[in-house]
Amino acid sequence: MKKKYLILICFVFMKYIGFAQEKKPLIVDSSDIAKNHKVNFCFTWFEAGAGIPLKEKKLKNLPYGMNNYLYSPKTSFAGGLFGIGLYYKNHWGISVIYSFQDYSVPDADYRDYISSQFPNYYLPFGVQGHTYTLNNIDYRLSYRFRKNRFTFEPQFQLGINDYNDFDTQFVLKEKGSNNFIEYSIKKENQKKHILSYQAALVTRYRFTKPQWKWNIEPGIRVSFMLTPTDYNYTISYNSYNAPATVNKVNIKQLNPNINITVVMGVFRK
Amino acid sequence: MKNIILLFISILFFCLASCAKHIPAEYEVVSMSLTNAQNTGESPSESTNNNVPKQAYAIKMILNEEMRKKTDGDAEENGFINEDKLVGLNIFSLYAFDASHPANTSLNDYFLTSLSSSSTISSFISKGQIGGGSYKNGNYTDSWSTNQYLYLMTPPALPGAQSFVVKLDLSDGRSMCDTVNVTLY
Repeated sequence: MKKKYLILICFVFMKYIGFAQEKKPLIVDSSDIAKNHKVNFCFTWFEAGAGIPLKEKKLKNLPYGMNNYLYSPKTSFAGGLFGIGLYYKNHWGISVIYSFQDYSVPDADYRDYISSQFPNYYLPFGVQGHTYTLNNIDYRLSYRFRKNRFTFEPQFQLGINDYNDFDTQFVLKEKGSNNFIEYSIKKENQKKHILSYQAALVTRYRFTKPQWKWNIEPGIRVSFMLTPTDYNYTISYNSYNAPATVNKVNIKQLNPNINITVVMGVFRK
Repeated sequence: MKNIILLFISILFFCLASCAKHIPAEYEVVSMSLTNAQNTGESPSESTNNNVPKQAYAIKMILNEEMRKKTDGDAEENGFINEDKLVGLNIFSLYAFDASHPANTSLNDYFLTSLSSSSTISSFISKGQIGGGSYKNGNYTDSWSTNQYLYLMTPPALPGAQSFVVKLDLSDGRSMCDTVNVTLY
């Protein structure tokens, strides 16, 4: 499954580059040609938008309620700041950018599951599904080409992420007594590094004049992203002074999602 | 240039102001009293009479506090600290509780300070903190009271009357003690 997605990312990326190579003899904007250098510098001020997580079918039948805990993604915030890049002859580029994403889930499915498991208990504040954040420096390989005032840039992005994943624990109070159940989900990462892979297409509009040294380039970036994770989960619960029920399960996820962000940057002519 | 210098000074001032150290205000617990509470619902509430279900019984400890040392700045941001630390808390009954706990023996192991297995009386004492601060609209108040519940986690096998005593010892040598009568059913 993982290989299939990776092949898909590579295919999409190469397809765009192939398309670009075919369309190379384009109408050239004279304002670009005037000061064309061998190596061009690009600065991305910010990227901001939404991440749309895609559901993974294989998570549907997980035991111990983990399907409800994990299988309910919702739109996340996706952003990037202060990217710098170098482009060779206005085409091939490498760049780095600080990027971050914040994933949370709607609580309803998981809360319903816990309610059904413990009907005689009050549900406390804090019963929520899986949340995590990703942030770090990401590295991009890209190919830039243009048509009239528009610039198109397919990108492949690799991120070596800080993946902050929070343990879940809460206390359920029994109705009519002081008894309670302590419930917890502990997570143990099985990977040394959590990498993310993205195939993206950035479409920019170039604001430029012959006397300007820089193009101002706002645009839209659409990407498909995978963040494979491998976690050992320990789900335990126990009543006061009673032995705990402990369940363990290993879950591998790809965390596929689509990011759509607005991009603002400048490009040295 | 002048504007840039002014801007720089403003940013520097803002940074220094926002990094100012917050010194907690100090309060003191001046007295303590007990009432019965029942915890059949989502959270405990004071009992209207002295008959409480034994599996949902809690002692409500009302701590009367006074401000001792106010500090500059916003009360909420500064936080609070109790002037005299809690060094001892003992709960016992004037009646026999069960076969292993005759009258006047400690029942600390049967109570929790909150509904969490780690909230034992011994861990409560080891933290030394008792009571809590109070403020209104960011300003200090001079006197107030806070409630601390003590949950009975191991009820007696048989229903009956109990007379619980709670004794607090503070680091300045003061002790506070009160008794509450209840019929557990």
